[in-house]
Amino acid sequence: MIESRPAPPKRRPTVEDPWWIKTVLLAVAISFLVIFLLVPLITVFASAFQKGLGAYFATFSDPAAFAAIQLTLLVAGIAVPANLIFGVSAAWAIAKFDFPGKSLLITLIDLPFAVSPVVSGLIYVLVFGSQGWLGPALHDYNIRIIFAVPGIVLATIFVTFPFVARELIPIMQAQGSEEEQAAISLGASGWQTFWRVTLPSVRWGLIYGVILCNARAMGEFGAVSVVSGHIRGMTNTIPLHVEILYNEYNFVGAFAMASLLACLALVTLVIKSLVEWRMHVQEKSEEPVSSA
Amino acid sequence: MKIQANNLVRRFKSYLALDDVSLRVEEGELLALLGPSGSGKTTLLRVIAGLDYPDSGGILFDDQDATRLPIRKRRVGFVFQHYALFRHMNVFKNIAFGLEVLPRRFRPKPAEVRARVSELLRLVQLGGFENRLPSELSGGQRQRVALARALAIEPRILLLDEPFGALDAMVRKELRAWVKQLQRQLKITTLFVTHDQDEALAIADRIVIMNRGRIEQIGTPAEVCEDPATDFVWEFLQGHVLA
Repeated sequence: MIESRPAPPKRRPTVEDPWWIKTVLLAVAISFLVIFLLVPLITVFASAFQKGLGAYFATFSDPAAFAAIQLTLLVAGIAVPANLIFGVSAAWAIAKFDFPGKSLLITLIDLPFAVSPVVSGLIYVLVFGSQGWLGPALHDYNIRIIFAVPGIVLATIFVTFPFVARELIPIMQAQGSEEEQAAISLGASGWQTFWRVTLPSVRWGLIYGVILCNARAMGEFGAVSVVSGHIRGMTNTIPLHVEILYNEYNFVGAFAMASLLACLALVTLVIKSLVEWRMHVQEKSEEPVSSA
Repeated sequence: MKIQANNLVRRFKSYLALDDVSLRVEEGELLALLGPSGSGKTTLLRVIAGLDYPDSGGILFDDQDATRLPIRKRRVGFVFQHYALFRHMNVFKNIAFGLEVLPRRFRPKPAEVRARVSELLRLVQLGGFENRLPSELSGGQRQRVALARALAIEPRILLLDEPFGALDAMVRKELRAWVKQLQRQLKITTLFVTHDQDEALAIADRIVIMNRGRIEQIGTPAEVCEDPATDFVWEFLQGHVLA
């Protein structure tokens, strides 16, 4: 009987939109992309190479430029692992346990998104600066935080700390804790359960959070600018060095440095879409497990 | 192994999930915990497993006090309602998990693990499925993998939480007969939770009927059908007959 039933008619939209609506919407979207993303991106590379490859690479042989790159890598190298640990702990606590103040913690994690980066930087100046709360005490011990590397690291950590936690919380909440319970009932310790069950099941979300966190850590300008003091070759990160070179009318240098950040953005985008695709594949294959 | 639960009380915020529950489970028996939702049957199972702790009362495994024994030291095989298979591991890794997390001096050699896993897969009739991911299995197959995973640690008791709840009617009947036969073969003390009267009557040696955190009656399927102890039992079993 079933075989003789006629095939259902092909689905078509109930309301047929006029063709020009689609065209106009598409045109608006594409012109925005071109004007705000593509043209600037091309400009960055065009200006960087306008005096040829030699001038481009000469920028990087300047010790101050080299120091800026080094400092940026150092800051990201500290801030990203720190936020990885913080993000995983916070997401785990929020997703798998109930405790008083949970919604307050979630709100606090979002705080850096709500606060202007300049204000974030200023907070550290007010706390650790020479006129700040802890400044005189730190000065006595000869510890410098503001206008030094520690301040840049602190400000970067603050600005980037929502990324990993934000990414993991919904994934972990959706997965629940049955798999962990199963692991423990099979004799696994808390540590084994974390490394073998919890972490692998969120690995794509984790990678996603980390690359976004890294991109922001390397590219942060506002907060870092306030606490850095702009000491050439000492406390300048790549974004700050771009500004200095630009203000000195060294456009090739400024855009050459900027091209590094643009490349970072492109690499981040590629990894991001790869990971998104993987997460999508994984989600699709896992749907029946949680809903069956 | 024998299990004895004495005067268990478990209170959640708004209600009493276990209200002075006492129970003896005999060696090698297949016992059903039957009741409507909210009757405390799953809480009782989780307390016996060590996934939850009683506010008062005690649990004896044989003659050893297990009330405060952490779950990982109880050696219970627990099968979750939604199987809780490790989604990122294949069938082999899932079943081998309990062996691979053993302290190094107790951990079997890789060859022994492989032999044990394939033996278990044969037992649950899934030979050759080692490399499948849980997402590539049907509900019934997942259920059997979960069972094999629980059996891998050579548990002293087997605890099944609504083991057939997520399966369609045909698979459910097939699987429950098979579980009964497997339990006979392994002679392992088994408790399972169900809200389905027919299921309990069909395979259990004895049935514990629960309501609002209390045990209404314990007896063989014939006893609870022919001689219901309370009005609730009579009403709850009305229309259901011995299979």
